Parts: sequence; structure tokens; C-alpha cells
Amino acid sequence: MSKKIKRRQFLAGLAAAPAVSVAASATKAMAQPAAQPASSVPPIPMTDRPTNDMPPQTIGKTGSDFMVDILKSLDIQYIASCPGSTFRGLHESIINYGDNKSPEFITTLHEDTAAAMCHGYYKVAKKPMACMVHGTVGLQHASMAIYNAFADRVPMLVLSGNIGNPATRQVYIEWNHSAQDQAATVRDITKWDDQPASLQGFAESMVRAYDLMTTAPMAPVLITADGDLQEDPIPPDIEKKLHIPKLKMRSQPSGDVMAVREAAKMLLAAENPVIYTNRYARTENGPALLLQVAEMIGAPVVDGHMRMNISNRHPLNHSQRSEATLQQADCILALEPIFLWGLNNYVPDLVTRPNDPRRRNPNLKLIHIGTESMMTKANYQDFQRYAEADLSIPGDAEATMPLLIEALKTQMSAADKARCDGRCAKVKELTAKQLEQFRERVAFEWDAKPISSGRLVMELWDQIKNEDWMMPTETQFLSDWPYRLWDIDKPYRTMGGSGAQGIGYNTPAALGAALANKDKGRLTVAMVGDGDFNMAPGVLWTAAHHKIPILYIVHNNRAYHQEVMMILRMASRRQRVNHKNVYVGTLIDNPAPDYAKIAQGYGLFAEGPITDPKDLAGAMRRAMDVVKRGEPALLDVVSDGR
Amino acid sequence: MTNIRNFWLGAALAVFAISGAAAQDAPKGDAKAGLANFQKYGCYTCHGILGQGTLRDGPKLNPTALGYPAVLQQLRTPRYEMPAYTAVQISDQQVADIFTYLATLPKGPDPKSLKQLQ
Repeated sequence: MSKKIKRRQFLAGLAAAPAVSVAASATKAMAQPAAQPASSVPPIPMTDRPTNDMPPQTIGKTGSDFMVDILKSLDIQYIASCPGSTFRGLHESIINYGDNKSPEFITTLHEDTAAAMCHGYYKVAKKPMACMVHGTVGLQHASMAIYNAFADRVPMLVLSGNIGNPATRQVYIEWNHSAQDQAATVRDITKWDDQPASLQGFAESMVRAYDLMTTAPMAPVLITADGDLQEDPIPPDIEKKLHIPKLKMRSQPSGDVMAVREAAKMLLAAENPVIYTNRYARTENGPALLLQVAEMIGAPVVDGHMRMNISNRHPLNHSQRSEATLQQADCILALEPIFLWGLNNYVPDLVTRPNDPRRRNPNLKLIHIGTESMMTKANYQDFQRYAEADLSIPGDAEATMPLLIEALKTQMSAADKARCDGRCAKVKELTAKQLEQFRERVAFEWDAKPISSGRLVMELWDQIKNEDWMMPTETQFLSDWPYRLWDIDKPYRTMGGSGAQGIGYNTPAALGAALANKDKGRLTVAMVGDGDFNMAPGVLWTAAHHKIPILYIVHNNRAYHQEVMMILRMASRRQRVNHKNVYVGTLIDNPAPDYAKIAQGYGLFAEGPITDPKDLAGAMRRAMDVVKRGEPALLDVVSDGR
Repeated sequence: MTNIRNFWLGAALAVFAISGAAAQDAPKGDAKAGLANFQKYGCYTCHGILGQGTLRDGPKLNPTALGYPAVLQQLRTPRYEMPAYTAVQISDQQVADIFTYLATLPKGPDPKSLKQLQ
């Protein structure tokens, strides 16, 4: 602002004057009571402020109203938050000035939940959601979920409150919740941040933040909304000059066209090309582009599942025989692989942690297309080990696919085409028997108690296979049974993992996904571990309060099971004989939490603990009926470890 | 991606199987005690309560095909990432009990008979 106007000190033009007069008169009347009977107690002054210096009590359009205008211009549909005084101005503007629509305020019980919901929402909606966090303490709460999204290269708009001006902070609390540099808490795990000092600056920073976070490599951004800026009225001379920039046509950064032509040449020269995908598909068009390339060159695809890259039953999907596939490759095209070094190397969990090269073709050529090198920060080590590639193409892999397809078409001779077509047919034959083998494996564990992950997963499949379903949660602790036996046929069926494996991602991120699925009319089913669930059980209240339909199934192995295995490994390695001790600090038992009761307490339909596999189908049917009515439900299933 | 440990373990166990070890080589074991030991020593954590295996943490156990000597050898001097269990921790008899437990487990239903698997 060209003229600094302090909050609570601005006379909002002539319109506010009568209210000011009334307020001042009322105060004066209280300070000078009518004559009363004599008393030995002296009158208590209502205020020590001179009555002719009272600030105005009402104002017109405020800075936070304008901030809502900006949120609407960016088409932010939802803003998740638990309330905090450092953003009370913006909170009120959203629900009243903005009519609580676009964005709608989604109430959460923890800031970590709010941020994780943004993570899950984006991966389904393909557009960012916002979360609003209290200055300092709320941002600290949200930081792990922001890190997960950063490591997963998922955008979210984080708005933090702050009272930047020490002279306007109220005593004690507002000091504790303000910071000189609010973003310092999360600067290592965001793509950009700003703490604008004016409303025009706020508008430009918000649009810049949106532009940056949705351009690959994507990541969260943080904008600090100053308390004075939110609560001060907008001077009329400033208001008429305010301008919200517009985001018009934009593109994603693709690889260099000359380098892509070289990649096509290498792929056509290969005898056994293989495609490896991980954080590849950015849009629902990604799988189709991938398959086009795979079919053209007759290459099997090995998928790391961090995005919905390829249908699990497509005959070119060789993810379930990944090592055998990669061992025969003489050229690997790695698309957003995340850990390029790990494709060909391994650090086994042995005492000396040796570095073992995987068995690979000695003449292997490695082509890397991805954005990994385009946003590397120094502190957190999510950038993984440095890997050599024969051809490295920085750029968004999905955006580069049309260039690669064009280059392959241009360079492919008739002989190349015949060779690739023949190879494609042979590659497709190799996956034909896998489904039957997996079914036999699950049948073997069908009646196991505790309930096996295979039984749990396939009972759920039986309930959803005729629905338009979406499963937003990670599956590695369920032996990846959904990827092995479900028919994951649409590009929105799954959405990959957390990014940084910060526990407590699945439960809230699934709700964010369910919020997006609600708008699309899809059924959301989420299988979460008990360890993950216990990090954010309050999510259930948000689901019930906002009537977000989702079926939560708690895969309840009553432990931090990964850590049971880890401690067992340590104890065995050290020849400790007391095996009972491996459960100290690793079990979530004695007493066993009753997750159905917890869910019921938050207002959900819930059943459990379910211990007999024969009871699964009925419970799932009843819960599914609730979800189909538009409400959340939860089942607690006592399960085998994995 | 399939854990490379599974590959090595599978390869090692296959060698043992070819060496001619068979189920009848096992000392007499008690299946009930075997289940208790399977749980007590945490075998189930990586291999599942029926030894059905998990994708990333431990392969399916097939004691009948491998034979007791191969199972014992894998336990005492495991190939690759599996932690070693010496006689200080678990006796040969306890291993035999576990072997018996796993060897006597029912096969499970025919997958074609389960509508949930179709």
C-alpha cells in the first residue's frame, strides 16, 4: 500500500462514520454512568483508553475479501483448514464474503490432515486444492504432509497466517504464532514461497505460485497472508487499482527435440528395449501415450506404481516379472524413474550394506527422461543417488511422449516395424499365465487367521468390480495384491504413493481423493494400515461432517509391522535370544484399539474388529450400502502382518 | 519391483531341492508346537502365518519340495538378506516342528471355486 493504514485504526470512509459515532457514544455512556447511590467502592473504568480515541468498530471491504477474489479467480474449489487466529480475517471472508463456495471451507482436526487432503485431491482432480494453516504452529503441524507432497512432486497451495508487524500483535499469543520468515519452516520442501506486503503483491504472488506449482516439476508452494493485510480495509484509492493477473495458455516443459530424436534412434536399434515408469503419468492421457510408444517399439513396461501409468492387465505390463524383464533389456527407457541408480543397483540390508549391481546386460543403454534434476534442493535427500545415463533428457516425460512418438514414426523403417511388431506379440505372451498363478497363491491363504491380505483384497474386489471405483491408498503392505489380481483398467483407478513414505499419509490423502471423486461420482475405497490410521483418526470426523463418501478398511495387524521385522532382523543379527522383546515399541496392542468404536464416535457407520474371513463379505456389503448413500464408513479387519 | 532377495533365495533353495533332500529327512516334529514356534520366532512376520509369503519381505515357503536339510541350512546360514537363526536361538527340534507345521498345512480351496477370485 502506498499509504500504510493500520488495522483497527482506519475510518472506512463516510459510510462507517455513523457506526463510529454510535460506538463512541456508547462507550462514553458506559464510562460516565448516571448518578447512583453513594458507595465506598470506586467506579471501575471500562477502559483506560480516552473515549475520544476509540477505533472504528465496523469497516467495509477488507484485504481478505480481495484474497478470496484471488482464490476464486484461480478456481480453487476447496480449502482445508482447522481455524487459527492468524488467518481469522481470511477465514471469515471465505465463508461470508465468498459465500463458502469456490473455495468451500473443509474443516479438519489437524493441519497435517489438511495438507495431506490437498495431496490426495490433486492426484484425482488434477487441479490444486488449498490448505490454510495457523502461523508457525499450524505450519509446523502441516510440514510432514507438505514434505510427502514435495517428494511426490504434487502441488498444493499452502496459505499461512502471520502477524508481521510487531506493533499490531496482541500480547503473548500472537507473538508465539508469528515469524520473521514464516516460510523458513518449509522452504526446503516447497517450490516457492512469498510473504507479500501489499494486496497487489499478494495477487501477483498467488498467481505466480499457482503457475509455478502446476508447472512440472510440481510441488507445494506457500504464501503467507499477513494479518494486517487480511483485516485492514482496502482504501478506495487502492481498491480501484488492484488487478489480479490471469493465467492463460501454458505448456509443460518437454525434452529437447534433438535429444528425443537420438532416444528414438537408440530405441529402434535395440533388440530388447524395456520401458520403466514410475512418477510418469501427469494426466489421464499419460497411459495412452505410454502404450503408444510401447506398442510401437514392442517393449514391455515395468511400472513402479507411483502414478497410474498402465493398466495392470495389459499384456505389455511386465511389472510382476520386473527383474526378469529388466535383466534381458539392452536398452531401458526410464520415464520419471525417481531412483535411476536403483534400477540397476541395490543396497541389500546386510551388516556391511554392500552396493550390489543388479544382473544386467553388459551393453545396456540407459535413456532417462524426467524432471528429477530440474528441482533439486540441498538438504533433504529425496533426490536419490546420482546415476549415469547414456542419454539424459531433462523434461516432463508425459509432455515429451508426443515428440518421441513423432520421432519414432519418422525414423522407423518397414524392417524396424516388422521387427517391433513381432517382438510385441512375443512380449505379450509372457504375461498370460500370471493371473492363474496369483489366484492359486491367494486360494492357499484364503482361510487364514488372522485374515490374509490376499483374502481381504479379493473380498473387496468382489464388492467393487461392477462399480466405477477408485482406490487411492498404497498397496505395498498388502503384497500389492490389487496390482496383481484386480482389473485396474481406467487411468484414474489408482494414484500411487505418498512420495516420502511419511506415515499418516494414506488416511487423510484418501479423503482428499474421495472429495475429488465425490465431484466425479466415483466410489472411493481405501485400505489403510492401523499405524497410518492412528496418525490421523480425526480425518473420520471431517468425512462425516462434510458427507464425503469413502469406505475405509483398516488393515489392522496391531503393530508397526515393518518395524517388527526390522527389530527382529536386528535381534537375529546380534544373536539376542529373547524374541518377546522385538514387540517392545512395535505393537499397537494390549489394549487393542477398537477402530470401529473410534469411527462410531466420530459419527461413522463402522463394524469390527472382524477376525473371521467368512464375515468379510457381509460387513463389506453393509458398509458399501452406506458409502453408496453418500456417507463414509469404516471396517476394522484384524489381519496378518502383510 | 520384485525384491532381488527373493530371486537369490529362490535360486538357493532350488539348488537345495535338486540336491535330493526330501520331506522324509526331517526329524519327527509336532505341528502344534511348530505353529507356536513359527509365531514365537517371528517367521510369520515376513512369510505370513501359513508361510504363504509376502511380496517384498519373504518368499512362500514350500518345505515339502525343499526338504528339511535345505530348510535348516537356509535358517542357519541364509543366503542374502534373511537374518540367520543359530542353534542358540532356535533348536533343531524346534525347526523340525516348524517344518512339520508347514508341511501339514492344507492346500486351500481350488481357486476356480472362489467367485471372489474370478
